[in-house]
Formats: sequence, C-alpha cells, structure tokens
Amino acid sequence: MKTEELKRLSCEPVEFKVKEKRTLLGFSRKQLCIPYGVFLACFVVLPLLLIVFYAFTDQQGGFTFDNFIRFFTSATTLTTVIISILIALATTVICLLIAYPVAYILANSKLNKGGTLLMLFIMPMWINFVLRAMAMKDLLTLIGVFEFNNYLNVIIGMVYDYMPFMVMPIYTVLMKMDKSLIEASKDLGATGVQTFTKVVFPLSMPGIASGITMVFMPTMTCYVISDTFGNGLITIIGKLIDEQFTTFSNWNFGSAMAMVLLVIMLISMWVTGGFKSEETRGTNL
Amino acid sequence: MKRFIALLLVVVMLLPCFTLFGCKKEKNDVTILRICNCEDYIDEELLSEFEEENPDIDIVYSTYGTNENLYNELVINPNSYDLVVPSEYMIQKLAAEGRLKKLDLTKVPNYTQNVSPYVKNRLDQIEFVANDGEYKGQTTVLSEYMVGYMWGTMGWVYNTEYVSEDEVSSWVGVFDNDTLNGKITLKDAVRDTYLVGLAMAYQNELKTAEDNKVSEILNRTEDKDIQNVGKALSSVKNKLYGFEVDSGKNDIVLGNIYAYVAWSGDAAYAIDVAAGEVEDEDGTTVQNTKMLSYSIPKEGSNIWFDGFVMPAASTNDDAVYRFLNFISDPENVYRNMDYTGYTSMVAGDVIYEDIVLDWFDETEYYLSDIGYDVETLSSTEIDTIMLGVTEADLNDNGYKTVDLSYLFGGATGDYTVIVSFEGYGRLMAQYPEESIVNRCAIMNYFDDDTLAKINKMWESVKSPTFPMWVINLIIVAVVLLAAIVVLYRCRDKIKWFKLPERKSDYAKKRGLKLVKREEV
Repeated sequence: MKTEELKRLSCEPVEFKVKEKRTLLGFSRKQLCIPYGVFLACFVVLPLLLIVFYAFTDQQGGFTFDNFIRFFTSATTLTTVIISILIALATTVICLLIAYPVAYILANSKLNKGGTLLMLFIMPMWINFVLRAMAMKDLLTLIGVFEFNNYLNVIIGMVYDYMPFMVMPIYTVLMKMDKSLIEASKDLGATGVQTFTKVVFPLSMPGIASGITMVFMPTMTCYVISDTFGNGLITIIGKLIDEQFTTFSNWNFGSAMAMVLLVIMLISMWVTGGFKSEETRGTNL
Repeated sequence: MKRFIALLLVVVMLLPCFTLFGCKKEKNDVTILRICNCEDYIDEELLSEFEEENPDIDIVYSTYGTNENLYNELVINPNSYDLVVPSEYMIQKLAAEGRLKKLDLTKVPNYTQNVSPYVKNRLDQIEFVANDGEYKGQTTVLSEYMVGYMWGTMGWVYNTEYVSEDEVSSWVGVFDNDTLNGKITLKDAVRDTYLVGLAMAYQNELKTAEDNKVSEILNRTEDKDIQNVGKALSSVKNKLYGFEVDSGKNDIVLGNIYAYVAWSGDAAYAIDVAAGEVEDEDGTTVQNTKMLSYSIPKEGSNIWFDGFVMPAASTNDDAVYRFLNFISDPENVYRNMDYTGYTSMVAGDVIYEDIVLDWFDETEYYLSDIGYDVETLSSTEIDTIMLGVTEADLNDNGYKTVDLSYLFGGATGDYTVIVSFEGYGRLMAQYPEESIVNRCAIMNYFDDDTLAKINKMWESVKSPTFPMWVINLIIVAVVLLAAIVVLYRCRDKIKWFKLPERKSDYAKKRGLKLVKREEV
C-alpha cells in the first residue's frame, strides 16, 4: 500500500509509523471485534445456556433428568431420530452424487466465464424457500411423481432445496485447485481416471466435507420441507421440537431434544471435520 | 474524511432510535394501542380508519401464529399488548392464571346491544375459578373477560361429486368408502384432531346421547380415552392423504383431496373459491356452486369462540374500549366478515339483512323456478306470495327454510332464510342451524399432565414406531461404528492398537533414520 494512502487512512497528520496498530477508521482490531463479541454473547452463547438450563429442569423449575430419560426411553422419539438421520443421509448422498459432476463441469467449463452458469444454480436461493417448496410440490403433483411415496417426496424436496449448498463448496475447491497438478499427473503418465481418483478427488475432499456438513445437518431439522412434501405424515426431529414449543408448551422436553440434536451434530461435524483443512475456510455460502 | 462519513453514518443509523424516544416524549397526548391478532383475521383498512377517527390513538398491530405462541409471549412479557385475540380455551387458561383483566362491557354498547344471545349464553356457561391474580379464588365466567370477535364450528368440507351427504354426516363415514382412500386430510393440530378421534372412538355412544351429554363425551381425557383416541386415529391414518393446517383448502379446490376437516371460516373460503365461474355446454359462463359443500357431523363437533381480551398489565383502558366499540359496530362487523369469511358474534338486524339475506337467501331463485318473473315483483308482492308457500312446496322444488332466530334473538320464525339444497352447506359454514350447534361442544383446555399424555399419543399416531429391539440394534451398530471411527482417528495415540505398520515403525525396525523432506 502506498504511504500516502496509509497516511490518509490512519489519519495521522505528520508521521507514519510502520507498526501501526490502528487499522480501520482509527479502531484497533480488538475494538473492531467488540460488536461481534457482543452479538455472539447475546444471540449464540446465552440462548445455548438457556437451552441447557431448560433441558435439565422440569416445568416447575427443579433440576431433573426426566426430559432425557423420556427421550431415550420413548420408542417413538428414537424412531423419529433414526428416520431423520436416514432421510438426511439419503439427501446428502444424492446431493453429493448430483452436485459433484455439476461442480466439476462448472469449474472446468468455458461457458461459465464470470460464473454465469453457477449463478443459475445459486439463483433459486434468492426466492423464499417455502414458496419454492410449495411450487415444487405442485409441479411434482402435476407430473404425477407425488403419489408414489411420501418419503421419496421428502427426499426429493430436500435434495432440491439443499443442492446449492453442496455445489458451492465443491465448486470453490475445484476452482481454486492448481490446474498444473493435473497437467503434471498427465505428464507422468496417469490416465484420465487415475488423474481424477488420485489427484482431483483427494484435493476436493475439503469441499465435499463442508458440503456434507452443510446439507446433512439442516436436513435433519428442516420440517417445513417434510411437512410440505410429506403431507404432515412424516415427522422429523425438528418437527417434534417445534411441537413442544408451539403446541404442547413443554419447553423443557423441547430443549432436551434440541440438546441431543446438538450433540448428534457435533459428532457428525467431528467425523467429517477430519478431512477439513484451511482451504475450506470461506468456501461456505 | 472517512471518519466524518463514518460518524455521519452512525448518526443516521441511530436517528430512528432518537425519533422513537422523541415520539413518546413530544406527543404524550397520543396513546399507543398494541393489538395482537391471528394472521389475516381482520380487514386492516379498519385499523387505519379507526386511527383517522381517533387521532389521539396510534395502533401498533401485530399477529401471532398459534394460541400457544401468544400464551408464551404473554408469559414472558405480560405487558407486551393491550388487546389480544385468543380462542376460548386459551382465554380460560389465561384468565384462570390471573393474566387477564375483566372488561366493563357497559363501555362497549355496540357489542352488548348486538351480541347474539345464543353465543352469549354459551359463553356464560363457561365457569371457572381463578387460581391467581386479581380475582384469585373467585368463580368467574368467561364472558366477563372478553368481547367476542368471531365464532365457528368444525366439520367436513367435501367435494359433492365424489362424497355423498350421508358419508359426511358422521366423522367415520368417509373412511368406510374405499374410493376415498388417500383423498382425506385431518388437521395437523392436536386439539382438533383429538376431538375427531374422540368422536370416532365413541361414535355409538354419541349417536344415542342427548344434546347436553355431548359436551361431556367430547371433553374426555382419561388415560383409556386417550388410548382409544390413539387407536381410532391410527386405524384411519393409512387412509389419509395427510395432516395439514392450511394447505387443505388449496388441495380440495385443486382436486388433490375430496374431503377435509375444516374450520368453518376456511370452509366458507374454500367453497367460494371453488364456486368460480365455469362454462357450461352452451359456452356461456355460469356460476358453479355445486362443487364443494360443508357438513357438521351429526354426532357432534367443536364450537369455538375467539374474543378480544385485555392482559392484566395493560393500562390503556380508554383506548381499548373505544377500539372494541368501533370493531363491534355492525357496519365494521360486516366488513370484517366480508374480508375473513368467519362469522362474527355480533348479530343484530343489520347483519341479518346485509349478510344473511343478501348473501344466502334464494327466495328469488325459488320464485323464478316456479315461474314468476322476479324482476317485475316488488318486495311486498314477494312477501305476499311467500306467505302462501309451505315448506313442502319449497322442498319439492329443492329449497328449504332455515330458522336462525336462535342466533339473532327472535321468536321462532322471525329470522329465517330460504336456501336451495346446494346452498345449504355454504350457509352452514357461517350460520349453522340450532339443532347442529347444540351438539357442538366447547373444548376445555388440557392441563399439563393431560397434555403430556396426549402429546405421547399424538406422536405415536403421527410417526411410525419401530419395536424397541430394532432401535437398540441400530443404536449398538451406530455406537460400534463410531467406536471404529474414533479408534481409527486416534490410532497414533493408542499404543496397544496395532494397525498396519506406519512409516516410522518401519524405519525404526530397520535402523533407518526418517528425515524431513526439507533436510534432504
């Protein structure tokens, strides 16, 4: 950066010090973090603490484990969790199978100059997703797919809705990839398939991992989709939690379920987190 | 320069805050009236008209999703609203917990003079003891707390092409017809569907029950009753298209379903939408009124009342009463009914003439059916002709008389309306007959224990349940899988864990020295 420009930025009239601590508009980095810190404390940490508090208390406010006992002894709730995980797994796998080739083509296509094609994939996300879900339902009814099976409908809906979240990180990783590595592997005699399996695919792992986390976790709780596409006949864990708050006025059991869900998510993050590296930072949508 | 811009931006962004505070200080003659109503439940133009008429009152209008959400809001912040519009069971719960103020109904003359005596009487019968608050220990009546807004029933909206009147005259009838498999929806709302379940489980008892026994049966919440409801609902679940809360009215109009459980206002809406104009064989456009109809099953159903109540913490009494009087003015009631499709608790002659007769009465159609030229007749002539018409004459031509005097507070025959058999269902959606309404029960609120039991039943009805051993098996499998993953990820740190030799071990055994790439 030019000295004059820095001078102007730092608003120091005469001398310019090399080790300038003040960065933006005269605030130091630490000071700039304060708003976010406050935000984090108010809207992330505090609610989490509240969830923990409610999960371990009964409706009169006394300490109890009953909510968790109820969760782990009820066959219905556990079945719902299992079904949610299965739906989420199926959605993630299908998303990955569709999104990878798409991202690969987008990243290597000359047509996609300036990200035009990519834009076409991302654009649906600008429309309200409840609206999109309802339109998709009507479309499925129209072409007659909707009548087969409610689970199939829900998975179709989820895949439709979460596809961009899988395409985007994989696309970013593939775009950033050093193309000379592919040339090198070809120089060294690798076939097209070998280049893909030994070079491209391993290098895109971070993108895949972050795609999986971004699809798998929300699909377990996105009950708007399961309600719309499953006609209310398919219950996923998010719906159960919602009902505790909106219908049954049992915040404690709802919080306990939310906590269990949180643990499941942390575990799944930890499992996929092994593949992550610095590269994926900032590739999420 | 940038600092200046930043400062300017900050000031601009903070400006709204200052004006907000400023407002309160400067115009302390303006009262802010905070109203919370159900979504799409009022003609919002009325609100701005009220503000024009009363320049000293500003309305802050917001909406809620479910009664329970509203309850949560009032519990967290008792002084969040001046007026709210919950359903009767929630009003009872709120009042019993001492969260509401009694209203001085003499200050709402438009309501007291015009409220339907039948509805008022039903509300007067809901007695309970307040457990907390100002009226603790007193026996209070629901109608002391509320200025009634809308009321309605619950029943089947059905497609007359596929469903017969007979099938929807009971709650179970439609499930006996195999052609309706997968064409029926129930409400995804536990209270409503619980009542349907009760009516199914105790259908035989209900059929023979007197009117005054119906309420007891439809309010049963003992363990065995909940079990029976669960069984009844599970047995029809696989014949359903699904559970819905607001997609039903679209689905039935589109023809995806043939019958669905509906609240009366939604029913009126669906019937009206379906009754759009169609082309008949000659190519002329005619009004299609025959597609959908509404039926309240004979065994008994639910009757509900929504009303304006005032949270105990609110102090804007004057503004509240002025608003209530405004909203209960028959002219405004008419507009609200026209907008929402629900039936107001305010009755009176204006409503009878402008709504019941204007919207539903088909005397003129009857007269033209039997050969009169209606255009040339004056209203007195019509009256004279109608005096000579007997009920049998009407029935022969596909019409009948419905007596609504019980609602409008007259002697039998004072407030009647003549409708065709096809138009009958539409009238029932807004103005049901006395014999039907008498069999509609008000549902009390469930206490926490009951709610928890019903919750369990509801969950098991709605989602499949694997046997416990299957679940255990799956859990064990998952835990094993997780253990393998953990072991694999931690293989370096566990000494006894032997995986295929790692590079370092290989080197050690052979006395080689591993060097980092850079050193080479």
